[in-house]
Amino acid sequence: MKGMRLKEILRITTAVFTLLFMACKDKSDALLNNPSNTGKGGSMARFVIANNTLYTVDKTTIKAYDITDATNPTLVKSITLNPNPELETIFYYQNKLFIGSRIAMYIYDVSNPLNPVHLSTYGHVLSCDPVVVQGDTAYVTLRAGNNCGRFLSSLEVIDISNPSNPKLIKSVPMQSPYGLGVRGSILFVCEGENGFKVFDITNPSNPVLVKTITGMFGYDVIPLPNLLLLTGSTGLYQYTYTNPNDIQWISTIPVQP
Amino acid sequence: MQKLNYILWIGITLMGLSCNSPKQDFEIEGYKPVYVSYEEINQPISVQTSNGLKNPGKIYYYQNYILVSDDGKGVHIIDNTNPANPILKTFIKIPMNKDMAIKNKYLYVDSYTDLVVIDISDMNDIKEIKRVKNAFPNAASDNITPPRGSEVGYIYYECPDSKKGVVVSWQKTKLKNPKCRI
Repeated sequence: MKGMRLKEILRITTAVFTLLFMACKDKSDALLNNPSNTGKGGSMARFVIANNTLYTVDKTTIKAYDITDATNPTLVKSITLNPNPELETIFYYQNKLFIGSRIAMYIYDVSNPLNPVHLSTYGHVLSCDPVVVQGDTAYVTLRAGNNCGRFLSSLEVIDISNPSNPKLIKSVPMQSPYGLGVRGSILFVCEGENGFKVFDITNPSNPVLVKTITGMFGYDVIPLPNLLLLTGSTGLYQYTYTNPNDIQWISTIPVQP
Repeated sequence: MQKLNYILWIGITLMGLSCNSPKQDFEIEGYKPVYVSYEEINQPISVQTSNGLKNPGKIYYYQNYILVSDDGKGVHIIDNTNPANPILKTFIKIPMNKDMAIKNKYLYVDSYTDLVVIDISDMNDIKEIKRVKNAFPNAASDNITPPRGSEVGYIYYECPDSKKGVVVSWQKTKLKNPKCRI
C-alpha cells in the first residue's frame, strides 16, 4: 500500500515536471516564432516576414519565399488569383495571412509556412482596404473615391473567431481612411488629409472614437509599445501614448519642398 | 454594270476620305505619361545622404531605426534612438521601389519587377547582395492607363511610347487630338 502511494507520488511528480518542461519549451518556441530580429511594417505593406518566410503580394499573386538562407530567397509557392483582385496589402497574425484587395479580404492558413492554404474570402463592394488583426477581430478600412470605386468610406469590424467564416460585426463611417494599427485597447486609423483617429477598443467589437488628431496627412501607422509612428505626404510624426485618452506628440520630420 | 461599280467605289472612297480628313484640331483635358528611362530602372541600388523626406509613404520599424519609403524612389533610414529627435541618416536609392521588410540585418525590397536583398549589417556600408529578376512581373503593367478617379465618361490620354521608358505616373494637361482613351 505504502509502495503504491510512493509510486503514485513519483508518477505525479514526473507528470508535473514534464508539464513544466513542456510549458517552458512552448515559451521558447513562441520566442523563436516572433524573433526581435524581424522588423514591423505598417498596414499598407505588401511584404511581410514570418520566421523564415517572406510573403509578398502584387496585383494578382501571393508568393512565399524561403529565406532560411537570408541572402538567397527561394520561391517555393506562388498563388495567382483569377480574375485579378488587385491585391494591395498583407498582414500576418498567428499563423495566418490576411490579404486586402479591392474586392475582398482573403484569409490563408500558414501553419505550414511555405504552403499557404486558403481559408476564406470575405467579399465586399469595390474599395481599398488594408487590414489588421488582434485576437478574434479584424479591422478593415474601406476608402471611397480615388480609384477605389466606392461611395462611402468606413471601418469594418469583422469577427474572425472562425477564420473559415468571417462575419461583419460593425461598420463605422469614416472620412477618407488609409492605413491602420492596433495595440491592446487602442486602434489608430489614418484619415488622409483629415489626420488620424484614435478608437478605444476595450470592447474589441465596438470601437469608440476618443480623439481625432488633425494637421497632417495620415497614410500609415505603426503602434509600438507606447510609441506611435505615423507617415503621410506631409512628414513622419511620432507620439507617445499610454491609453486612448493620452496621446502626446513628440517629434516631426516634415517634408522638404 | 461595271461603270456603276466604278462610281460606287469612287463614292465610297470619297466618303471615307471626307470622314477621315480632320476638320479641326480637338483639344481636351487629359493625361500625359511621366516616364522613367530603362537605364534608370535597371540601375543597382545606391546609397546617398538623405536630402529630406519628399513624399513619405510606407513605413517599417527595426531596432531603433525607422525606414520610410519615398515616392517610389527609395527608402530613407532614420536613426530613432531618441524618438524626440529622429535623425535622417541615409537614403537608399531604389528605382521604382514600393515595399520593404527586414530580417537579420537583411533588407528585402522591390525594384520595379525585381526582388532585391540588401545587406544593412553595417549602416555605413549598405550594399546590394542579391537580385531575383522578374519576381513581380505585374509591376510592368502598373500605370499603363491613367487612374480613374471620380470622373465619369471617357478619360483621354497620350498613348504611352514604350521606347521612352516605363510610365510611373500621369500628369493632367491639355491634349491635342489624343488617340487613346478609356
